[in-house]
Amino acid sequence: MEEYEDLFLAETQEYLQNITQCLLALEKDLDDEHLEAMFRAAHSLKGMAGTMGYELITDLTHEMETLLDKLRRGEIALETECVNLFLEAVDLIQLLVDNLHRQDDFRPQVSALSKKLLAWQRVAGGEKTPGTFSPQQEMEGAEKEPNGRERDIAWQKMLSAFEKETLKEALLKGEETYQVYIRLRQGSLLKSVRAYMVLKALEKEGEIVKAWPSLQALEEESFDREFFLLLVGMPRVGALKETLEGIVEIEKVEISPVKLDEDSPASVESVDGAGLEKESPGTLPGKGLSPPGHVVEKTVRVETAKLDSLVNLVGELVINRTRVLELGKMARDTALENALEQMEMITTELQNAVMTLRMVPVRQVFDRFPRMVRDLSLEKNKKVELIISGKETELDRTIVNQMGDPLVHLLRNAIDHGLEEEEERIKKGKEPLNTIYLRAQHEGSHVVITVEDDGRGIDPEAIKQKALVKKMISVREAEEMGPAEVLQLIFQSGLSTSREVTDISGRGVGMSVVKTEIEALNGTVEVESRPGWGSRFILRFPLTLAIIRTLMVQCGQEVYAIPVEAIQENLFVEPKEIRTIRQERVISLREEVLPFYFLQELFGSGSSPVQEYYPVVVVRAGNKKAGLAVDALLGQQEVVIKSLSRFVNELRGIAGATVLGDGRVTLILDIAGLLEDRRLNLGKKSVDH
Amino acid sequence: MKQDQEAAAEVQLVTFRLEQEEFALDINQVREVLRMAPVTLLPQSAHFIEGVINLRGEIIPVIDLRKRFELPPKERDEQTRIIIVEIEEQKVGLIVDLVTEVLRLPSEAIKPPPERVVNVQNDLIRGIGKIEKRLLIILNLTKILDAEEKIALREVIPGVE
Repeated sequence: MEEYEDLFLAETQEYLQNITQCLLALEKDLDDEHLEAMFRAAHSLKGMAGTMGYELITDLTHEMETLLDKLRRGEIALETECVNLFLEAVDLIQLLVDNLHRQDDFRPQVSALSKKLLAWQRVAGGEKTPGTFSPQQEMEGAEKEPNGRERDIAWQKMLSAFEKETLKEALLKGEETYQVYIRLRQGSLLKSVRAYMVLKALEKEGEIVKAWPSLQALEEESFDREFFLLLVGMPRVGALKETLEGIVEIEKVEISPVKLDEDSPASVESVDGAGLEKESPGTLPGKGLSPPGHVVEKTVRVETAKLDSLVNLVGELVINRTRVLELGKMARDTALENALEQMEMITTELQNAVMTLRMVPVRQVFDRFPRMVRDLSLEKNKKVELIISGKETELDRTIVNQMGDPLVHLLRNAIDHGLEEEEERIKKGKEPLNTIYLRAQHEGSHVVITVEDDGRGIDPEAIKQKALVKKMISVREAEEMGPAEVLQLIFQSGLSTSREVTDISGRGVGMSVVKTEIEALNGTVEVESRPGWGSRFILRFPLTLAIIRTLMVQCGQEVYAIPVEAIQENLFVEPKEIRTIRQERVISLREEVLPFYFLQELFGSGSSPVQEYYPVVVVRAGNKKAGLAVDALLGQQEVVIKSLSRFVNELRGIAGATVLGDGRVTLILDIAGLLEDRRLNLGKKSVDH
Repeated sequence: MKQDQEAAAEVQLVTFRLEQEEFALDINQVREVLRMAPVTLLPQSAHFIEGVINLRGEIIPVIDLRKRFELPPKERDEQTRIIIVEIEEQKVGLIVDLVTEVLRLPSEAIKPPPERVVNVQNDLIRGIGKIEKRLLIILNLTKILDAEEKIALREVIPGVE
């Protein structure tokens, strides 16, 4: 069973996510499509949990399903309280899923919630109208709860291969399938005429694929007072319903979409189609010869570890290719060189193809936010709309997996500090509803993610005062700083501008953590704000983490790789240009004064020999800049980043390592870490050069 | 079948030399033995971490066991070897003077470590193996690589940079 556990976990995440999305959509606008989707997700989840033997999850999803069914039939309205209840159930299921092996610990919570769900079902209560019957239920002797998925499967089972084929073709054309339920008045006469009129009306809007009871039975009046029809086409549902309701003697009309897909795992469930005609494929016209409903899969689930290993191997291949190419050049054999050139092209393409495997859409993270924003805004009692765009933008999986926390923080911050009360907004002449925009878009080899709110913005003066009080800047510095510079101070620890400390944010550590987390992903973050009108946080991430462009520099015996992202420019500096201010060396670059270090000293591996000119790499991380002197610049190269073993991975200033063409390991510098850490090392070393 | 039973009562060890002492590692923890390879220095790491090497594309930290045990340094030569060990799914290289042999030792020939053996911290030792006149110091790998142990060692032995 354990081998299926991962799959179960992965699929459960998807279903839970689906349910949450549907719920939030439904809360805004109760539409059948989302109801159906949510129902399906809950049902699939139930099925899977049942198969795996997770009884508590099965129970909970069952209650959800039942309640959903009532919603679907319009017996209850979806009130906020009810949405909350569903969300609570989603959370609890998540908890159960996270603790698969300690299910029993949660039994009390599950039973409490089940009761609540049950209570809602009763609120909905009312007598069971005959209208709630479905073919499925009839066929199974009304033992089971009526539910959409099972109803759909029942339809599925009733279809002959030919009918399925017709349906499939229709679906390909973009047409949809609906169940039309008709109930005639008690004691209605001329039932077959009514049925005929219904059929006539339906035929204008689409094709009737199946009827239950059969069309013949309808014609012969051998039915009670209800019947079901399966309609395919593109009907105008509202208009159709009106027409049908206009037919004399018709008491109730229900039109609901039906999802017929044979390949879904749910359809494997044993639904005993008792009394259904069985068709043997041999009797069918030519069309039916291929196995009905066989759809080619477009995606395959692969373990991420396997993907990583593939990416790694291709990285190896690329490194090795360089070596082979060098050998080929030495051999001076034209045929060999041509073959190698060909190989180079293919491997480059292979590398590109493999890199795309690591890419996932940011949707995976963004989809969590609507729920979070909803909960927080309810809690804070501030009305807010979250507008998300660019969900499909793809980024390296590692980045997508890890950018969640900083984004959560930024969104919470926006809700907590940025948003305004309704009166405040109206007074300012703004829309009463706060809006938060979350956008993702490509920009060259980067993906830019912005979190923007139209709230009260950040007041640079307030920050300046706070920074002064906390002695983070001197009075003189404060005078010299422009508003944009002042804003960047919020990323330093110890500064919070919120008037109150809440449980969400405002402890003054948040933003510095956000910045660190983003920089750990090779990203950058900036803030812009218009006081009174809102703030915008701009996050930039590289498309991929696995391969980066670096500048190779020689430093003593070692070669280091500096990510090009972190390099502003290279220059040569004469020893006399190096000045000392407050015991720290600096150089002047145009108008700026930059701290100046010998890379070798930063790493505590001796001092550089005195040279006529020092090659200097001007690096920057956030708003920090520095000049790093090295022995020689060796040129740019793309490298595959490999992490260092966890026995040594706490090294500040080292982002990872890579293997060069000659097989040697080269360290990749982490400029942000290096610039932050520099004092620690410099303090120890003598600074006379 | 017979081998299995024997294996239960026996330990297979890879033995190596540092200075004049003979050490041993459980063969189950040893992945391979390499000749000395070019090592890339790791700045700011623990003093006994020599650096990292490239083992078929994998980047593996290498520990100088002499430094780990506070033994005087020695020129690397033809006999210097890197023993690649794996614990907790992490590979680590250990630089040793010389790898001597692979041998089987009955479990009862392994005694618990005495209070203090040579210059090696006590908890780094799993036991002492005896064959005829030879004494094998069987190492406790986890302790050698333990990040906290690194600090402990620094605290215990003064003058460590």
